[in-house]
Amino acid sequence: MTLQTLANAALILILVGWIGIRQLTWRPILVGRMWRLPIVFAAIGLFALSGSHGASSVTAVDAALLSLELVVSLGVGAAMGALATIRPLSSGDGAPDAPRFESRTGWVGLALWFVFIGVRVGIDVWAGALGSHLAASTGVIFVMVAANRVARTAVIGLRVSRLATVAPVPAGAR
Amino acid sequence: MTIEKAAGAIADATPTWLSRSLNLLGVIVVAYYLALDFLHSVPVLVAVPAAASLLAWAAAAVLPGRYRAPLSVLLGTMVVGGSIAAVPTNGLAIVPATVAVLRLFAEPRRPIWHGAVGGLTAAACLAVAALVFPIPLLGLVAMEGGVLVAALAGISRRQFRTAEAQSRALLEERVAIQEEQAHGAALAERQRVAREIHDVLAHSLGGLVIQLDAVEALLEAGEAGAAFTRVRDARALAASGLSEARRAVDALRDDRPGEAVDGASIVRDLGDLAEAHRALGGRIDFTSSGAERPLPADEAQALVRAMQESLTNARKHAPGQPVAATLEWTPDSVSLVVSNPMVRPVDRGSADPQPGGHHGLEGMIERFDAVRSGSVTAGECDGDFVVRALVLRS
Repeated sequence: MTLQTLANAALILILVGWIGIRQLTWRPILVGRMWRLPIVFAAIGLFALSGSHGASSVTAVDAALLSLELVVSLGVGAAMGALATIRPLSSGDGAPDAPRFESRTGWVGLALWFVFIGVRVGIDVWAGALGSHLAASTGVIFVMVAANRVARTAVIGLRVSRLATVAPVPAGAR
Repeated sequence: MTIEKAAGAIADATPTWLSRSLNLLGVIVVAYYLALDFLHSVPVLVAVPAAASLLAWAAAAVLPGRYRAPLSVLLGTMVVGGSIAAVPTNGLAIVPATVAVLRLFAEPRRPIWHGAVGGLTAAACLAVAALVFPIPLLGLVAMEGGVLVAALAGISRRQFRTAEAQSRALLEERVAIQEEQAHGAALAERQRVAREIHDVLAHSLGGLVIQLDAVEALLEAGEAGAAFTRVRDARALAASGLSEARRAVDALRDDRPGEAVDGASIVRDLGDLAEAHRALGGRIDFTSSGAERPLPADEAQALVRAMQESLTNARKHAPGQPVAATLEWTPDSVSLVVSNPMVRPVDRGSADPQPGGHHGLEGMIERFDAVRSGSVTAGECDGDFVVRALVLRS
């Protein structure tokens, strides 16, 4: 067991735990802030990638595996965004930039998160068998998590903007 | 028409002959080069999806937009078949896949996730195929890039179509508002005509009824001389009603605002009305005070009609009661106050010969509403029925 594998395992465990907890709690929707995490992750991932591999060593197999992983990340992220429950936030009508909605992805979202990790691990194993090491690198893990979050944020942002165009019905008016 | 409906109308539109021809031309060109270069060299695993995607492309090109479910199946076949066959055919079969991704994104009636699923599926199929068949890195990147470009083009086209649908919906809304305004204007005009007819006819015909009642009573009593005088009065009233009706019709025909009317002739018109009231057996005390000055035609007309309506009402509801009418000129305004003691309503039988209802008062209020700085009130005040009309100098 190499240091790289150990580091990956630790990183995955931390990410899984953190994001898993966030799936199950109600969180205010601040679309601006929700973009921040994927941007930071993508930056870290790209930085790690640029340090570990020269562009000349990338093969078509690497590219194929990366695009496959990217599709899975985006797809799972979009599904998580679509599954999330969105409800209006009653206390949010004070400041103009206060969140108006909050969301919770729930247990199905958590299950999807594990599917995502499983598929990733599977692709890593497959990539190792095909002789591609790029797809299993730490930098790529970060980029893929970022892609997952980007797709989720985009879907939730779209849903919230649709909800926001419909004027909320005051509780007493019904 | 809502924006969604307008967008749907665009999305459901059957493809034009130009777009059909271009698509079919594309199918023929791609099929020709596929047959030329790859017919004998590719395995069945590639030939079948390639052929399926081309057939689906041809069918999707001619299928009317209202068959949405079959169209989705065809576009899906184009995406999967085209992107699987793209790598072994050197990128040729990517064409139907990109066309389908573009269409999935571009149709406004389709949910945006159809496009996203199509694009991601194409990217995934390309990647899997690149793991099975050898391909240079640049080739794969170019194909994935092609899918991305198709997705972006589709999104841009979708936005364009949505904007087009929105502007069409706005235009239709504006036309509807204009029609409503025209309808409102026609209604206001009809009310104006109704008002004129009422004012002229109610006054002269109501007066005639009273005169003829008196004539009937006098003839029954054998007083032929007095009856003769009444008949002459009635004739004069009818003649003046007729000339007034002519004037009203002329005014309705003539769209131009009338010329200003000088103060003396307003006072004279009001005096004539008071005289007619006396001739019909009423008692009236009419005074005018202050410096007379010319008034715009509509304001003068409104004052005259207010007096006329008040006197008609007095004869109808308070017969025999004295009427006090005062016209007061100040530098800033002209006011007319007509008052008469109210009489307890008595049962006068079901056959009421007087024209009316509340049309007269309504018409009076409408007429003053139409005057720029006029107002009128009518109601009980200390046992008197009082009509106050006021025209401010504009």
